[in-house]
Amino acid sequence: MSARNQTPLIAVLVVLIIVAGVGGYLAGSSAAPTKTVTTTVTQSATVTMTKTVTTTVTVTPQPKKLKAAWVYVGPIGDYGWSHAHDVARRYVEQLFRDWLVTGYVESVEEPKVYDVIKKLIDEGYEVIFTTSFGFMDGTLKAAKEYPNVIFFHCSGYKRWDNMGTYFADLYQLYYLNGLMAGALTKSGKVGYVAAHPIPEVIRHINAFALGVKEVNPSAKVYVVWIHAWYDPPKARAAAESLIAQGVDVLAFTEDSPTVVEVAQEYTSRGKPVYAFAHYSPMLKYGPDAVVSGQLVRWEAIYADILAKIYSGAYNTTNLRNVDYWWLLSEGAVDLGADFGVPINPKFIPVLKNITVTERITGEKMSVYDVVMLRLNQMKDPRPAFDPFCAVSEPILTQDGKVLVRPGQCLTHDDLWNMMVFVDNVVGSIPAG
Amino acid sequence: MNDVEVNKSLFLNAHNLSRPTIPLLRVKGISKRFGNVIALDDVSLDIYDGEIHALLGENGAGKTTLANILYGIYQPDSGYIELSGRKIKLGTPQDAISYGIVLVQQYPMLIDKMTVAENLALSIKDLGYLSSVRKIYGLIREISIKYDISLEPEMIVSNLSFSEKQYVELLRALILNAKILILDEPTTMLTTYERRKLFVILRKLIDEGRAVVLITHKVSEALEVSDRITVLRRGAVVSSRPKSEYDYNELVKLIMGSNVNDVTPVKYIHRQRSAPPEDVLVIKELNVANDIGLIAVRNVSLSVKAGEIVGIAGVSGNGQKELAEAIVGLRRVRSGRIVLSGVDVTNKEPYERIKNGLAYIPEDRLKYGIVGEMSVAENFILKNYKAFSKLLFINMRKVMDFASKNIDLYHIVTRSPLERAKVLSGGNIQKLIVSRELGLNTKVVLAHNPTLGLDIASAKLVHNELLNVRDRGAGILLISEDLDEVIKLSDRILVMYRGSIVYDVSRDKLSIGDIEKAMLGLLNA
Amino acid sequence: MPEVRLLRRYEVSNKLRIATYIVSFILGVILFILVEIAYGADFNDILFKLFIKPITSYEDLKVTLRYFIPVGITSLGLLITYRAGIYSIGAEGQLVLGSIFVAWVAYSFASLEKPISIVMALLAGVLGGVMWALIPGVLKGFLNVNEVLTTLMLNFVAYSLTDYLIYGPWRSPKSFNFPLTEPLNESYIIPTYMGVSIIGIAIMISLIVIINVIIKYTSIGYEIRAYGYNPAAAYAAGISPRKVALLTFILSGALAGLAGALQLTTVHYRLGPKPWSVSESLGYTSIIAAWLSRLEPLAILPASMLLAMLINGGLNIKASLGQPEGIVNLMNGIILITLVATEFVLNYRVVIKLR
Repeated sequence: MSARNQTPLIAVLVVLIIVAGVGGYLAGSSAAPTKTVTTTVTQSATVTMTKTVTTTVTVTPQPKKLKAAWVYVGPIGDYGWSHAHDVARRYVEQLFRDWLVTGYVESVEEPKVYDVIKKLIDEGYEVIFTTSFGFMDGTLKAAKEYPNVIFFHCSGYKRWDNMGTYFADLYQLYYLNGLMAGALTKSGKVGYVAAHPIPEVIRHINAFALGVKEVNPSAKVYVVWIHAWYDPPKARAAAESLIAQGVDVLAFTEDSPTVVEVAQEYTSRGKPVYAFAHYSPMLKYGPDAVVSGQLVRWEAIYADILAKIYSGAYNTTNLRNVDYWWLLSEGAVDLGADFGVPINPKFIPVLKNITVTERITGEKMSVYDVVMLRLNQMKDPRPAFDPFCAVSEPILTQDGKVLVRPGQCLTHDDLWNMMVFVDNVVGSIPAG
Repeated sequence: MNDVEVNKSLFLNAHNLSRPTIPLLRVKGISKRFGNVIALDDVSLDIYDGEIHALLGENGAGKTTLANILYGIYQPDSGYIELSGRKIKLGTPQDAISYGIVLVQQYPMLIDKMTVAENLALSIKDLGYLSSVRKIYGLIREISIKYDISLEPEMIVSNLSFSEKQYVELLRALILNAKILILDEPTTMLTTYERRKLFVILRKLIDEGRAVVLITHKVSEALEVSDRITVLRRGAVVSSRPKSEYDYNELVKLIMGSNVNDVTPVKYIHRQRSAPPEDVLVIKELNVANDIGLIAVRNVSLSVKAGEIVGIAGVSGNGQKELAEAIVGLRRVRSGRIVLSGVDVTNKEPYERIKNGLAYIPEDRLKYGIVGEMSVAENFILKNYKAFSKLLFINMRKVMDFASKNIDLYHIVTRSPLERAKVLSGGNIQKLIVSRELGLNTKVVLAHNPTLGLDIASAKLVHNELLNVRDRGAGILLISEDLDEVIKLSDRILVMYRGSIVYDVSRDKLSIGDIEKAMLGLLNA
Repeated sequence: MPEVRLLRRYEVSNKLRIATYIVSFILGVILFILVEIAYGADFNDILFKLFIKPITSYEDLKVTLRYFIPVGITSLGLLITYRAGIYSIGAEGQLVLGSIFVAWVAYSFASLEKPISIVMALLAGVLGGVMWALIPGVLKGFLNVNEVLTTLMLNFVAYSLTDYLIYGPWRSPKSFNFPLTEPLNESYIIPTYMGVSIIGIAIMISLIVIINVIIKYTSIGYEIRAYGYNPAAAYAAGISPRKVALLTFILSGALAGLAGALQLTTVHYRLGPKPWSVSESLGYTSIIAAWLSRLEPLAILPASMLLAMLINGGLNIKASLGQPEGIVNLMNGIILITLVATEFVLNYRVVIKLR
């Protein structure tokens, strides 16, 4: 319900960004993409964005309709990844109802994506979003074969003239969750139920651990791998084994509310275990246990891409360097146990009562205030903070090596390749 | 239970009918074809209560087809059936049972791992499945005592002998309170003693006012027990009269028709040997367990010489099956040795034994003798298919020639060598097996109930073949529940009782009385 | 009350059998169309996109053929084990192992030139499948371990092995640490002609002919058939159960491994990101194809074609008609069940009597 109430607000925001983006593109002509040749793709994309926010140009709708299709790896009712993308699809379909026609294909096995794309093209779709890493090769193959169709692939790294990539990353939110986890743990043991040992998950674990460390330097983050994106029984077993080791706060990467449910069960039995929702609003699965969580707003990215395609800013020749790496500042992700509930009200007084030293200014303030400060810093179009920037102390890895020197930040590529844990994580990365 | 009560009342009504005018069951003008084959041709006969009615004929004469029609398994193409003067339609076995007609099958379909009571509960649907096992316990005990049948409801079927399994079928008919019992070749598995016991039971049944239809191919049996004999030949009734109007020779002629001269007379000549021949099969202190791990063969030692037939008589279920399987290699031995022509083959694969000249005529032909789904021709080469192959390829033309030759030689009735073997009649299947096994270069033959269920002509042919192969110098171990057969063929006779050889006598010194006593464990040797 | 009775049929001619299959397939299709109409789909749309396009569109034909080849080869292998009465469900794992072996050869001998590289790759796939099949084969042959359990579990082991390789030693340094291996060298890629793997089809058809001959006309086939129909009689006749188990597992493993090799060299070119990315779970689809063929090698052609068409049809339902996954399952269910029901109609005659 709260999500509904927020939609107009988001819509305004999104439209603003798009309008700005398109305007900026038209104003700055093709300057932005060509700039990318120098360093990494993402940085240039970010540059484009920051540059364009200021400019405003109105797009005049053209009579032509655009047909866009989404290819999902799971069923749209999975309450996780594919569900989140489909919510966004319906959102942009409504938003651009004058000129956008959408379609979707659910439960597509990854090796079959190429066959599915061909059939979609046969049905007249001009823009195709493929939303699983495993779709990468098939999408690229189709992109090369159909140069007149625009492709966008989510979470991959391969691009082509007519194929861009996009991703909304949650690491800032995991960091914010980590701040709260570090404050709330009594045992000094925080748990993380992790899906697969890939950089994305490792990055999230590290961001979470950095948050924990900032407010509770002695606390440790215990990691258990379940080697599955969706496996409720394994997630449950992992959560319970962590709790048995004394863990009292849990974060996770798995496409079901299982870990939240486990935390709620323990909490209602009088042994408080707290958890952070992942990807979707999960407050209702653990009203007493969910502190906060990570939410995604794919509609921000989709609206931007589609508007630019419609305006002609993106066409079948200039996508080779288009990579969306959208974070809090672009509104692609959000902090929350539910939409509109950044922190479960039950925990706000507790968090307000715990005082820590803010590490940049050295000021004493409540954890709640630190979280809000960081949230605002990262939401800023020019983020004033990043968890992977070392301020006065270096960020160290598990074996004591320096990961980030004081005054330095990790680059996009560093984050994409991350295969080591920071020093307060307990556990190893398998098969490295 | 209610349905059983109903049946009882029906049965009482039938009993009250006046006998000679209206038969209990009248079959009128029944014909049945299977494809191009005429199985029954205008068959008519009357069955009266209080009588044992023998249906006599060769294999393939149509006896079993008629039984299946009376039991509702097949529907006749023409003709009808009357029960006590009323026309009835038998669409399924359930219909037949509801009219009090029950077939006691030759090879009962029982579930091996279940008890007698559970099997009966399964096959008697009207008792209601869940509570039926308990109810049936009482019924089984009651009927077993009444008719002197030695079966307990909690016995596991896999531990029963062939004849005991047949008693399970008989029990089923009695629990269903059949007023017409059709017994399909019930005596093929039985010893003389068991056969006589069965006949006593049958007489008891007709004295109660039931009718018994006894299907048999044995003339002597029909003459021994029945009140009325109907002779079937090639699907037609050739004669149906009271027993007193027949004699043995006439019946043989009626059964065989013009084929009577085809029966090769068996020359049961027992040769005198000059030099002491070698042992081709030696068994030393053999111990073999049955399926549930109990010792079924106890310290058996025996030897068979080249050119000799050693017969093992005994009531079935005394370890013969386990002994045979151990010799062939289908069952591991606990201890002891099996030596074939000087080669120790104890616990070796069947292949090793075949290589050393062992031929096997199994009791259970369908299970061990043929591959029913394969063609007749392919079954002829089951043991020596490699001899018909060159570079892995089987020379089908050679196989077909070989099959055709054997089909002619042994008068095997089949539409084509390419027909599936399982559609052949039991006798023809046995001829196929015998011709295959004895046609090889065999040194030792293990024949287990080789003429079980065969008609006169087929049985004689099998006997002839066994004698021929003996004359060619092979040693034969004949394990048979048919005492007449053992006595006719064997040079030496052993008796097996509870897993042991309890009697051993050469043919010139044998006493049938002692053998029968030994078979029943009454002889203290 | 009407009474329904089932009468067993004894002989069914092949003509009647084939005709019944065709009629029941058509019935299944009609039933599915009715369901679609009830669901609210447009009749012309269904007719065109599900029935006319798959036959007339070359693009659709390519999709169908791409599944036809691996399903055909793999189900042919399974057919051999089923003929011997051995119920292997391990083709999936053998297929995966085939692809792993091909990848191993391709990475180890990257400099080999065509055609030696291709021959090596295919042989490696066969070897991988055979080795994986020998595990249940030996367990069955020597220790009489139930093959259903071992083959099923080995499928999961094969997946885990792939996971180990794509997350571990074979993870491509260029894949940003995503679970992908390096793509095969160009010399290990089997060319397609106009998008169709002519080589794959040629291999499949010649294998069907060869297996048909082996099963029906050789002593090996004789042993397999005899053992499958009646293991007791075959054993008593001196046929070694060990030999039959090993032989059938080797043959079916070889074919599944070959299918895995073709999947890697003609379609996917690399392992990952999922352990079933190369096999596409077709090892399981092939079980259905093998049984639909009634274990008749020549009937593998229509059976695997049907399953390939069902896969393509499923994609058409989702992508062209825009319908959800549930409708695809419905179609598979309806078509397969009507075909299985055919068995029943062929074996029994249903007589309905009014009393």
